[in-house]
Amino acid sequence: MQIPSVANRYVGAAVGLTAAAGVLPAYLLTLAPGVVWSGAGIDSGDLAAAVAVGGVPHPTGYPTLMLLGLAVRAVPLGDLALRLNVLTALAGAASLLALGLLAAHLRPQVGTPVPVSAVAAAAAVLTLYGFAPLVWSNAIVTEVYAFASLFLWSALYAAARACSDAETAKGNPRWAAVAGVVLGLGIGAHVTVALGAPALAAILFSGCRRSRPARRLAAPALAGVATTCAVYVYLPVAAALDPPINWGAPTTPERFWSVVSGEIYRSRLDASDLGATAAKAAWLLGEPVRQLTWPLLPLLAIGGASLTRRFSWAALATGWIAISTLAVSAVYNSRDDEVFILPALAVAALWSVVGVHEVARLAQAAGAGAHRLVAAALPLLLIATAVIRGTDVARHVSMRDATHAAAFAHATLAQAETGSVLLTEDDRATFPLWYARYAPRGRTDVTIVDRRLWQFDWYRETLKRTGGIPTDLPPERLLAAGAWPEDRPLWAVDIEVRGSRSADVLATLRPLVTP
Amino acid sequence: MSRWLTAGVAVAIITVLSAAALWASAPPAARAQTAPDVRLRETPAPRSHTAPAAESAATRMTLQLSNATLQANRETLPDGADLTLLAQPTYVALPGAGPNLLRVSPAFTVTARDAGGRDIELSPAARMTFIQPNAEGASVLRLEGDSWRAVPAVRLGHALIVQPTRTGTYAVFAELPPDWPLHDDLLTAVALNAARLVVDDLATPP
Repeated sequence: MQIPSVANRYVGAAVGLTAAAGVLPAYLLTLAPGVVWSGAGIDSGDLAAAVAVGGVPHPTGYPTLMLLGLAVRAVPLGDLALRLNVLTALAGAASLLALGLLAAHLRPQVGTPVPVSAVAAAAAVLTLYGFAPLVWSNAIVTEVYAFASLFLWSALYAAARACSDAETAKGNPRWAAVAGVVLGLGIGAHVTVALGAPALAAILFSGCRRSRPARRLAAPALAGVATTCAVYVYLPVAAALDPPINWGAPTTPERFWSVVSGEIYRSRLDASDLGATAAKAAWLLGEPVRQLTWPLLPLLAIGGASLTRRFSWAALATGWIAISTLAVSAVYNSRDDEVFILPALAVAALWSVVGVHEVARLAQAAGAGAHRLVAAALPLLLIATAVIRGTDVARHVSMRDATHAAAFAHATLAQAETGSVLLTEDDRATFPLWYARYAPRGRTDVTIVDRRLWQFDWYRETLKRTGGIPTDLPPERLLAAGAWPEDRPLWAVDIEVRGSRSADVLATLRPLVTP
Repeated sequence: MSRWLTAGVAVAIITVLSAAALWASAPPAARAQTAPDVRLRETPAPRSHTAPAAESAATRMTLQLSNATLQANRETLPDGADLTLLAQPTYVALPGAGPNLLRVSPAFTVTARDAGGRDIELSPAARMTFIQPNAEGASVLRLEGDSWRAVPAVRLGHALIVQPTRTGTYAVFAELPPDWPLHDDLLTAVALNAARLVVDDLATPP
């Protein structure tokens, strides 16, 4: 019996759309209802508050997300934080489409139809990637990584398209320009997408080498990157409008560079303890297997070998992305440093999809019996793994019930006296309070002061202008000196974390009075 | 590239990744948050807590809530015994109370000690009344160790009345549905009004 096939030009879309359709309902069912305390989404309050006021979120500013957020803000439908979460889920699902399209260009026997069974197996592999805990948890609450992934893999797909045309003609400058434009947008989503630039160059220069169109393609690609990196202009423009969320107030070249280069986080890049760094790197190297599950490992290896043999430039480009992002994650030390390996997980998924196509090709070459066996068993095994994995991971990553951060902020603001100033010292307090304060119908009379940011000139300037409080000395010292305005009751918001769940956060409002 | 070399690449990938996945243990999580703790400027970093002011505030709140009723009850105590009602800092969510249960009142701690400093039982006639608008959706819980346990409460209109047979810490909680909207006004009302506590009939044990 002949196994039905999918025409060559639709293979990538069929794989990507099937996977996206598989994960999107899961993402929406586990979507965070607003801003959250949970690990992956702890910055959601900061990002949503920045969108609410058209401001500048924490470095590196994420202008692409801010611009997309402003578009979403204009849609008067439900809570803004929830709308941004939905947008993130859509970006996460769409990134699977980009990966599917790229993988179709890198498969063996490009140009031939692909059996439906192989398409289903490849889609199951991408679904398993979408169900990886790290991927899933970053796709259901406002964060930048789903957008970064979408733009990075879309850019590489466009570059591959530019080159695939090159093999029959002179290359396609339009696709090269699209690759540059999308990569620029990705850099605006997260600066680590810039690590994709060498990969993109490798595809354009090595992948198109045979017909020598690289120079024709390099110029439009560079122009595209330069054009869309201009999204960073958003930062000084927004900062100049003096929003209350204005990290770094990047209105001068020095401050702009401080924000986009993440100056305040630079000290977290530390590899001085070689033993610890090596141990962390080893752990991160094993993450693709742990995150994507063991059944994918043979496919990953076969796909990697297939790419090395047939498209060495693609193996080089994607290998660079995996290794460079693993290295960044190994030497960067923060609460969420593991998230930097997301591109490495995507590379593993990409190679695994190529592995599926390679296995299907080998089975076809081995004879009808082997072909039928693989066509039946491989998709079945992978789909079952994806279903089991998805069911298991959903319980752990779901943010559906993560209402505590919003409730905390809401109740805190509700209890605050008129004109209160709330002193915070933890992201879990500051970010949800910012969002509740600056979202529509927030408490406009309340000012939130993060003690950790007090050390920065730009923060005190912003507070003075937008909060109307004295900033010559920290509030507690002014209070002790009897110089704190009586009409601005001062409260400390303390946060104590007693567990890993959102419900395990103890928050306390403590009135501060003159001793 | 020969087939053997291709197979070698595949085996190498499997070996390296599976060894890393099986052998390496998770590194300790870094604690750095988004807002930096490190100081980059000269302004002195504020202290992480302001204990003297907090102590003062707690004391003041104790005195404010030790109202006339409480004072009258205190006068009936034997010499040297003490009865206090301490409103702890206003709060918001606690472990052990349930995933969507939100504490919407300050925690009120009742202590009653005899002249020797030992805890004494409260009179069965002692009552704590929490006034708040949605008594139907709220409950009073008592802190036992790290967990909050429900105590029987009688609902009378907007009042939740409990019999604090034991000294300890009590607070009002309200169920928070998963789809609770951010700008729901109900919780606001609860949070604002739950602070109105009336203590009735606190008396010496028989």
